[in-house]
Amino acid sequence: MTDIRVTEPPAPAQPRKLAGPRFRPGESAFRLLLLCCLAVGIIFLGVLITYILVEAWPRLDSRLWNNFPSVRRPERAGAQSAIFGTIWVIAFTALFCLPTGIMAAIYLEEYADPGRWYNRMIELNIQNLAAVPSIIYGILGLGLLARQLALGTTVLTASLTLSLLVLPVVIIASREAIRAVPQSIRQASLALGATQWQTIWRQVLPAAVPGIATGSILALSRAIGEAAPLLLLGAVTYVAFNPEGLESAYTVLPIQIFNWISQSREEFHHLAAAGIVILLAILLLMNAAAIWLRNRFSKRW
Amino acid sequence: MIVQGVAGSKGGLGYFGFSYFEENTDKLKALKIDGGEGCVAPSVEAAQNGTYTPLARPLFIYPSAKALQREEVLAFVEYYVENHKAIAEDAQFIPLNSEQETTLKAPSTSSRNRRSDLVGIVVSLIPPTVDFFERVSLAEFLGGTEWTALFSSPEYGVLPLLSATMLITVIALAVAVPVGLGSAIYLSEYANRRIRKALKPILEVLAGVPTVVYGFFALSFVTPRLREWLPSGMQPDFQNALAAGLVMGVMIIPMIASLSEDAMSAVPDALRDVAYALGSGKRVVSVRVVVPAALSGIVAACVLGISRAIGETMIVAIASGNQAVFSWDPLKAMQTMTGFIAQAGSGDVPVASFEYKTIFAVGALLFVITFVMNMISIRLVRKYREVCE
Repeated sequence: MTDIRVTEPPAPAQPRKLAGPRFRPGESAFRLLLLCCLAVGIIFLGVLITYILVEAWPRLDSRLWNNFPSVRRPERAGAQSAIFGTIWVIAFTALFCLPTGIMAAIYLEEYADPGRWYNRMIELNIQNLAAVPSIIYGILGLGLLARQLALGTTVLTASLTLSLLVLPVVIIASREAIRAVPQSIRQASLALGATQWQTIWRQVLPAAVPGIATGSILALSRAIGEAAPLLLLGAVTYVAFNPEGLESAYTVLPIQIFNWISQSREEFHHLAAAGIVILLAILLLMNAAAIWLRNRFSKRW
Repeated sequence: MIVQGVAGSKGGLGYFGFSYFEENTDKLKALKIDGGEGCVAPSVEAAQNGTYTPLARPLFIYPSAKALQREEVLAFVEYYVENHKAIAEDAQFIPLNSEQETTLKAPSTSSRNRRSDLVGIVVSLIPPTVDFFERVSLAEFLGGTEWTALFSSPEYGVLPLLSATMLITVIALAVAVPVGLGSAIYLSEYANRRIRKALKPILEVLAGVPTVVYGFFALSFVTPRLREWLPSGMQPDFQNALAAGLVMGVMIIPMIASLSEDAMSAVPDALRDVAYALGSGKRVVSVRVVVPAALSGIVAACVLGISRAIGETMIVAIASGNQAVFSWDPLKAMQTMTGFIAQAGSGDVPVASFEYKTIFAVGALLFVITFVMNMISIRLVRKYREVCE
């Protein structure tokens, strides 16, 4: 007789759990780590602003914008020439760089043939220029504008240099805004018999204006905070008058702040902090305007 | 500031204005110096009669002869001469004694016209950098370990500037890369839309703070805290590379975070879904799938961060010092390439001088380095776009 062995099926084990454990310590720890990373930036910003406000408090009054700088009497020193200088320089920077930047963006997006080598070169160049250190622009302004073209260290030189500095930023931001306008709008306009320029002027640009404005404001706020190139362009000299024209000598807020930081008397450090508060207030206002513009007018196509 | 530095460290020695000493006699001790005729203690009289040499020196003003013909300039100089005593006291300088006063008020024809007009110097069309390398060989420039370009016996070895730049960049990246990357992973993989919308403006504000402000913070907040927290054997200098590097790191975080987040958001969801289907948790998906897929974009962000750190000027000009020392000690004061350009360029540099050309030579080196970095970064970004699209 053959011995028949029936292998018994293994006893059914506990039903297999498909889901992993609810609580995974690795996961939670990792999440916490990431949150800590984010917290570093936020806490730093909080400490920075608190510290500066505390330092600035004793000097945050009308002397700051009514008086001119003084190395002799810190209690009477103010930043009026620097505030007016900033306004002058930034106004002309906007005047020089916004039209140029926006037109360059229109050319690159609407007219340029990306297959051509020179257009590719321009594009590569702009990307590269956007990342060149700002002090290099200062050297350029010093060698080329101030000395070679004999413009001297004036408001004109400063605003031309700053325009060159933020031009790539304006171009890149405007291009993105123009690119976000869908192709169908252009095609519809062209199909109705509009010329290319009419299409750009009446359809593309109005739709892209919020994006361009946001980008431009952010670019200009970068120019306002920029000090390094202007160090080389004569803004450090002691200036006790407001600029009166393009040929005028000038100083700007960041440089005035730098100047006060380098003074060794303690009172000047409070003054520097107070100057920083004004500068940050201007920048925050501009940033808020940019964010508001973006949220209010940006369209989803 | 120097007062705190000297008072706070054992054996501390500092050189600064006499008036600061007068304000802090409780904390400091003035030292006598020997100017060749025995030791002299600093005092108002010693400074006035010139025996406190070589550390006390007179302060001159030089109006040009042409400018003095203008009425307002003449009036100003006369005012200055009349009121010099009050002005000097206000600025906490030591006023002249009576004898010197008479010389000051004597007709100043003899000491006129020191600074001739610089206008009209024809600017050479040859780039100043070329001029520089005609006098200083490339090997001397890139291989030398002494940088004393602004001294009377100059040495032009750029290595101290280069090493300081690299050291500060490394410190900055040690902060910015992990923190920036962590923030990017959270924003791209974990945060929902509402959190992202709230957090992004904060990062934008952090990115928009002017670098002068960061410099001020590094000098007057971070350095004193480092002095408190570090053990007494490791006290940092009054200006030091560590504080500058740490603060610069925070400055770069937003850039690395937002560029890496762009790269991570571009990773197709299909890749994530596959990993989830195989039973991975969110952490594994983020670290093993998303980060490797977005790697070229992340590396591009880091390279751009390096280039930004190398080119940053104001933080190092304020917080890391103006002495070019060839050292890898982050607690020391040191000068970077950008710091040198800022220091040498902030005065009125005559075109013909060799310092002027030095600025261009260091600037050219800086430009070449950042240019190479930017090109690498642009290449990498293109690569990840090709992979993802």
